Amino acid sequence: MMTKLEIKNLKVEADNHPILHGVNLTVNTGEMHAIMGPNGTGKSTLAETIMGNPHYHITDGQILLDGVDLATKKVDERARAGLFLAMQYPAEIPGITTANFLRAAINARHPEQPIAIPKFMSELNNALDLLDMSQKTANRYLNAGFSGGEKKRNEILQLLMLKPKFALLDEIDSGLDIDALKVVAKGVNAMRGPEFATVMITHYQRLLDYIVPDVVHVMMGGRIVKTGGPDLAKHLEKTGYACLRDELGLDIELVDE
Amino acid sequence: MKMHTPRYAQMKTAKWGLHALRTPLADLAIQLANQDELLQNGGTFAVADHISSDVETAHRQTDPENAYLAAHFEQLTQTVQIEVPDQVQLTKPLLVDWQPTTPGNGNFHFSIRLGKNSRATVIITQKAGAIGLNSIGEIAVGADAQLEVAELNLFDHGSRAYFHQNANLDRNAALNWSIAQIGTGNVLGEFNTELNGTGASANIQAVSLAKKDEHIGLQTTVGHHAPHTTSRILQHGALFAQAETNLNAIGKIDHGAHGADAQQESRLLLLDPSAQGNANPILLIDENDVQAGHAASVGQVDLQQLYYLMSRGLTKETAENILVRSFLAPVLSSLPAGPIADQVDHLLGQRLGGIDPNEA
Repeated sequence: MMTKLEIKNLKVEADNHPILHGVNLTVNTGEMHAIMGPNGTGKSTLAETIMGNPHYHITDGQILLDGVDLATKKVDERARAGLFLAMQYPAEIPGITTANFLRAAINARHPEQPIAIPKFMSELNNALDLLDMSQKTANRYLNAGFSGGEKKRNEILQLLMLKPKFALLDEIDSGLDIDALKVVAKGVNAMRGPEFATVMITHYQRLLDYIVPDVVHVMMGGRIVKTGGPDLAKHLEKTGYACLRDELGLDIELVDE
Repeated sequence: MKMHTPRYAQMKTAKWGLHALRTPLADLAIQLANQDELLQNGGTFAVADHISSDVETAHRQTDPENAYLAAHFEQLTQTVQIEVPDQVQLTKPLLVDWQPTTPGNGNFHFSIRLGKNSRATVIITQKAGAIGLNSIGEIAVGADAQLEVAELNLFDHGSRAYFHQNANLDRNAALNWSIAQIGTGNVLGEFNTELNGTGASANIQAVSLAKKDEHIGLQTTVGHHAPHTTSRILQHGALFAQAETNLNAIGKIDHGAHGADAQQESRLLLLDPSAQGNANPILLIDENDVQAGHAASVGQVDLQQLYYLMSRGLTKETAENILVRSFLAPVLSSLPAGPIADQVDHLLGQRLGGIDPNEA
């Protein structure tokens, strides 16, 4: 059954500083979306706000999951409702292994019926294989001492194991070499299907060569300013964000200008 | 002589309510295990009905005005004696397990004496059931000997526990001493190590967990009395609700103990705003040619870590459970591997509640 995530006129601030100025976005399961945009334009804020990071405050608008407003739901409730955020800077948690953490996270979704250990181990081994990760990784403490690339792979490992309906991928390509990027893309593509949707946030078109989106959005100045197909990303790669801004006649200062 | 409750820096020890120690004595059930290897090597591992007056005098002199210590020796009826002769290397840990079997104060005493160039591990489990208890002991480690001591303290809610344990180390002796305070109730205790011989070294680690309105006060002291002695004190405590925990770490380096190295780290994690913690580092150094370092912190859960764990669907309680384990991990990893580490892990899970990620 199709599930719908709707963002309606979302306005968000952090530390009393407005960041999002009315974002509208609808994502259905079965769809792959990409959000591109220059630095400092609110892409990560959008992802973090949808997930429920308490650092960000909604001042107006709604986030609806199949019509249910998520505003009052805590981050863990949103996760159990089917949202997942692959973070740009995953936290390091020494003292719990990735495997034990994953089992606890899976069981949090249906505490009355814990996953059988053989089933869990077989799913974990399949996911590790798909991502070219060693068995040892699962027995290391969660992200503790991991390289940037290892952390990104571990985010995708969690995605594969937790099987969310909506995966927000916040710059999952940053800091990855081309081989690692292919592996990460393989993981995300394995999730493709009618029950799954992703919103990829990226600066670069390169990621979209490996995870081909159905829809591309461009964000600038805290709004989505243009939506199109995969060609939009290719066009942007040639012309740049400043050019698009001028084309659209927007009065926005780009932070890296 | 005017007697008083133990005097520890920055702690009002009367608050611990240890007057229960004056209640009538409880009967003790003491179990010993793995003694064969030691007995075959001419050692002693037994429950005795007295201790030598020399040992008693030496211990009392370390704090002559301490009312709890005096009460302990006046009421003493049983003691666990462990004597390992010189040149004996034991392969199995010596296990001591005791608990009061009647209401009242459990008055427990142990003496561990390890001969020259010997090696042993002693694991002491002190079980629940007491209204109050004293756990007093002496440890002596001979030259070039290596001793590992792990104490797992489990008490029911409402218990009052008092510890006064002293260790003395000869030349090149090594002591690895772990203390796990993860039972319920109020705990007050001091663990004193004297490095008397050149090259002696001690690692002392304590882990504590306090919930409800429990009080934990630990004072761990190492005295460096000889050159090239080294010590590391590592104390981590987590506390919830209205609990209070005080951790003192004291490193003393005498004049003449050149080349000594005294390191200490005391950290507390407060899970609730009403919990109170105090980590108090003290270094008293009377020699120039030494190394010493201390770290102390009282902090709360890292919100970024909490958010990350919750973003995977874990409830706040389970996420905090994981972060407590994460915080205690450096100390837990210093416990001797095997059943005691598993037991501590299991008990932590029980006391923390929520989904136990290590057993889920």
